[in-house]
Amino acid sequence: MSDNSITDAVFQHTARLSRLEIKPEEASIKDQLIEAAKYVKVLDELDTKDISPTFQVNHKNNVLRQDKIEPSLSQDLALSQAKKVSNGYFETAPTINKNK
Amino acid sequence: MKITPIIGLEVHVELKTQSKMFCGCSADHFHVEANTHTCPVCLGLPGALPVPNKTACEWCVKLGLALGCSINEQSFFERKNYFYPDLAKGYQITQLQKPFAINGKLTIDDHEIRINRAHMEEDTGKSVHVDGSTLLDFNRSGVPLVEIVSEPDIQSAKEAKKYLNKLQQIIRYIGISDADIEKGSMRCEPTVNVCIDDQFYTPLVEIKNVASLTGVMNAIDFEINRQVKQFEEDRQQKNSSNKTTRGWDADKNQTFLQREKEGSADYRYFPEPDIPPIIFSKEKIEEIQKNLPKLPGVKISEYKMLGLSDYDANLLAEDKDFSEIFDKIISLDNSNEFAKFSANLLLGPLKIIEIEIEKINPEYFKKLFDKKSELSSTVIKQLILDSYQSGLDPLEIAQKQNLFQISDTGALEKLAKEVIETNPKAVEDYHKNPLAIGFLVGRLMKVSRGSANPQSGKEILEKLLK
Repeated sequence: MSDNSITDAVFQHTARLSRLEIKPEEASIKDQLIEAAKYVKVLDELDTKDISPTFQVNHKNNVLRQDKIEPSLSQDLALSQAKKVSNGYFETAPTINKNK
Repeated sequence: MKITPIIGLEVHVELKTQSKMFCGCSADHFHVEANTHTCPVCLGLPGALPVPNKTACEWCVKLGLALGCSINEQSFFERKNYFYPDLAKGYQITQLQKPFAINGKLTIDDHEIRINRAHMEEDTGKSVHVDGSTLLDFNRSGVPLVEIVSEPDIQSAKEAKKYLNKLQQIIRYIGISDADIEKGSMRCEPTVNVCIDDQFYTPLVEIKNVASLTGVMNAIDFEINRQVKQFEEDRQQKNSSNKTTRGWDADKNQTFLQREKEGSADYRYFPEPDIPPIIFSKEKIEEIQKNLPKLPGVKISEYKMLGLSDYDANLLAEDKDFSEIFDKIISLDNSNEFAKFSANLLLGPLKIIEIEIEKINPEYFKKLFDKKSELSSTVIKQLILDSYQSGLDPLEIAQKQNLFQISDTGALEKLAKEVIETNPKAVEDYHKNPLAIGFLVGRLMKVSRGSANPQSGKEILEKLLK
């Protein structure tokens, strides 16, 4: 990653993907992000040409469970952290415009 | 104008495992009280650890093998990141680079439809849209889902339907899902565009919310027509950024623009760090392959080898239980004649009524077959039905009701004499016109209550009247 890879467009895109609204007075976040990116840039110094990507560091595989039912949370407990509930459902802002 | 539709299908199938994909919550969510089958894993609470369901992984491989796919010996899960309320974690656990199964095919009327992949993932929660808000039920969140992605090889709505039928049949045969489109355990998203005059390609459209097989056909047909009209108006061609998503409105019988995709969606896939890779050894893959049941295509060709018509073979193989009982029946006698005899009974008198397969006794077919020279074909049909309904041996029923054909010449002769004596007019007619024998044979059948063999009866009558 080069120093200037975080362009305004990349910054805006990243903010949008993260559902973050960046106010004009918070524009300095972009510079902080560039700083942070510089910090991990040190990894570029390593030669990884012959090394396959590492997804796991614990060298395990096939960590699976048998198909057995275990107790679930009660409805009350499941909903207990929700901002808004309605008849046993989590309630949220509408996701579709019902006017087709 | 030459129009060639280009159709690809993405099919999601919910597996009927007991528990969910990454946690032990019950996977049952149909008509279950909202949010009663959830836990920290499927609610996406911080710190929860997903552990894959072994059976679900094996079933995905099983389906892959049934579709002629290669199985990746090493697979892993990945995170597909996006924000949507029905996906509590902010990402879906799915497979991208190394799915369980790749490069299969399904053949529809000699036309090969390539299958790109069959991969394992988790279902999302269910949204209920009410006035002014969306309600969420996470009982479905984390239910094992296999996604089967075809290449865009399908050329018509009709072919799409056949493809789905065949896929559904295979899934039900191997017993991994009900694959019920109406209930939502099989969901289908066609991607459609059209090639015009072999040179212009219309923009891609992905169709969502299709909830029935007829809907799939109607939506595809609607979209083909709409795209051709649209192209005539604006001459717009497919490019990398003009794919759109359209919903299907079954009431209005039309598609409508859902949302423009923001460029190509940026899901930022990356390997799921919480789940180590999954390795299927060659031995394990072979074992799953070996335990695959005989698939409908194979059965159909076997039935045809037994001399059954294409139509009958298809009917018999259509349903797994039905074909299994047929297989049991024909295992009792390997002659083609017996296969045809049994197929006629199964597809005739028994198929008409709503039968319970487990009530069918294969032995009875064999018993009737062995005595078929002594029973009329009408009587045989009645007997198989009666024995199915009562559970009794059909030959015992025949015995009790005197339904065996009398081919014993002595007994027949006695009855024939009786018929001749009581029908002098008919005898007279016969002497004038030998064709009038039919009436006397009819009388003979009547007095024997259907048990006379008409051919022997006729011969005896003729002999007596000489």
